[in-house]
Formats: sequence, C-alpha cells, structure tokens
Amino acid sequence: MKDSFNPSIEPPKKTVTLVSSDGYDFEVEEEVALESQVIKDGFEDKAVDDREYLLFNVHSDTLELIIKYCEKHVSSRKSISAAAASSSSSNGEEALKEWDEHFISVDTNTLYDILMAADYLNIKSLLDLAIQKVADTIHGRSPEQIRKKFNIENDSIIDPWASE
Amino acid sequence: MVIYFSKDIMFEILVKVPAKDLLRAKVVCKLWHSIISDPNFVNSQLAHSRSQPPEIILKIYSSDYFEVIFEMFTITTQKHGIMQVEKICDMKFPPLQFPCTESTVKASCNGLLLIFHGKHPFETLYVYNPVTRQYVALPSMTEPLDMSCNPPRCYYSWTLFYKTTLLENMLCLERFIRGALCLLLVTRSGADIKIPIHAVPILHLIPN
Repeated sequence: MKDSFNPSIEPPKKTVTLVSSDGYDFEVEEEVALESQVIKDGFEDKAVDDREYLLFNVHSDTLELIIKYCEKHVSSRKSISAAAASSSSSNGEEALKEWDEHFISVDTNTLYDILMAADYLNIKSLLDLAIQKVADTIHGRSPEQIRKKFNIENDSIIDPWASE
Repeated sequence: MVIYFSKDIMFEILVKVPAKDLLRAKVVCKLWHSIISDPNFVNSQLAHSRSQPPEIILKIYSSDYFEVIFEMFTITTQKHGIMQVEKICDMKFPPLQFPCTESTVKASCNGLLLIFHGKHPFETLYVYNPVTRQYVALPSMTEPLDMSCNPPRCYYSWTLFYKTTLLENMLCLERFIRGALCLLLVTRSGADIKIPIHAVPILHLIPN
C-alpha cells in the first residue's frame, strides 16, 4: 500500500496535440482542449495513444489565441470554484469578464478569424463573445458604412423606412 | 478581405444588434433583409432585447401640406445616468396598413401616436404604434376632445379626457408599467376597463 500511493507525486498531466492548418503543433493540456465541444465529442472515439487533432480550418495565429482563451477560462473556473468552496469572496467572474473584453478587442480580421474558429471548434462562450463584438460594430453605422465594414455589395433593396 | 459568414452565424450576430440599428441593417443587402424579416428572427430578437435595458422611443414630426414625416429618436441611459438622444431614421406617414385618407396626429407619447382620423363629426381616435404598425381604435366620441397634451410633442405620459357615446368615461393612457402600456378606461361606476396595447418601449420589429 505504501509503495503504490504517494500523494506528493502528481500524475503527469495528460496532453493533446492540436495541429494548425499551416502545420504547427500545439501541445495543450487535455482539459484545455476539452473546452472545444468538437474535440470533446470526438474524444471518446479516439484510441488512447492517438491524441492528435488536425484543425484544417484554424491558422496557427488564431489557434494560439484560442488556446490562450481556453487556458484562461479553465484556470479561472478553478479559482472561482476554489474561492466558492472556501466561501471567501471573489471577484473572479468580474475579472474574467474584463479579461474577455480585453481579449476580444482585436482588429477586424483577427476577430473574424476567432469567430470562425470558435464556430468550427464549437466553443460556445468564445463564439458568443465574438458574435457580440461583431454585433457591436453594426451599432450606430449607416447601411453604407456597414457594407464597407463587412465588404458587402449593395444589391439594392428599397428602404421601407427611409423617406428620401 | 471578403468575409462570408454563414447565414446561421449572420443570424446570431444580427439577433444581438439592437432593433434601432436593425432598421438600418435591413437595407444593407438582400441576405440581411431576408434574415431580419424572418419571423423566427423577430422572435429571437425580441427574446434577446427583453433581457436588455429598455429604451424609450420618441417621434417628433414635421408636417408640410400633404404629408407628415416622423423622425424617430431613442433615448438611452448611458453609464453614470447620462441620457443620450439619437436619431434613428425618418418615416413617412401614413404607412400603407393604416386605413386613412385624412388623418391628423394629435399627440405622441412613449413612441405611440394619437391619431385623429376622419372628418367631423365622424372622427375616430386611434392609438398607433408606428414601430409595430399596430393600432387600436378608441371608443367613439360624442363631444370634442379635450386633451392634456396639445400641441403635439413628446411626452412620457398622456392623460386624455373625453366623453364616449355610452358612458362618460375618463380615458387615461397609463404610464409604462414594467415596459407595457395599457389604456385605462375609468367608468362612472368606478370600474376600470383595461385595453392592452402592444407598446413595449423597446423597439421591436414585426414582419411586413
């Protein structure tokens, strides 16, 4: 019994390798990768040794950001639940919100890349965050400005509300 | 860079856009127009907007001889209680659905219009919501209106007093209670008759 159980040695963290569309390997902890519903769903089907995921639609630049987001959320969740367990007050959720806001304040192209990747990997909270950010860019803009921003061709609809 | 979001993603994005911006977004392109006109979208947007802080819409109008043009404004309360007024768009009056040849706007309040329709002595009063394009006809009158809000401007509440053919009623448009507005008929006997009218101060879209 003594030999088989030693609490000071943690079992090695299980890792998963994510491969970006441009061929870079990212080794991440299993629980971080499981933030993606797509990876989670596929997880049971995988053989134990085969822990590599080819993400054909995600570029390494984007994947790096996505992993950063997932790592942050996994670690915050732990500290929030730890604070709740010891019933000490915590502004963890507030801080995480702020972190999210800072995280998603990126240029338009990066934002779209994140949105598409979050959709592809099915990371609900990140997808919501990105969608809200894109929705915010529509606010207060004229149709012409929106077209420019989203690169949409004007295929001429008669405006039922305008009085020009 | 040209971005092609799938229709599903675009749907999700537009649901999170405030309705006042959707009026403009609707004319961006055919795809957006079709998404925003979809009844499913309207329901989703409604559900989402109900979770947002309310905003009150006002319309001020200018009139030349033949037509009345409204300007739609929103008032939103920003951080630290600062009020922000923003123009949304101009609207022609009357919209096609409204059955009128001769109408006058008597007052506006919380985004609703009080409309006088028809020639004397057969006037009918309508309460009209230009956003949802719904209207309610008020009971017909025997005596001319005496309204507390004349000349027409924007008010946070109306109080109307007029006599109907059947009863001497006092008609009040109540203040917004929890975002909904009721017409309240106070009868002589003291009984209240409430006529609900769909007038939530958040701008909602309904399909044409």
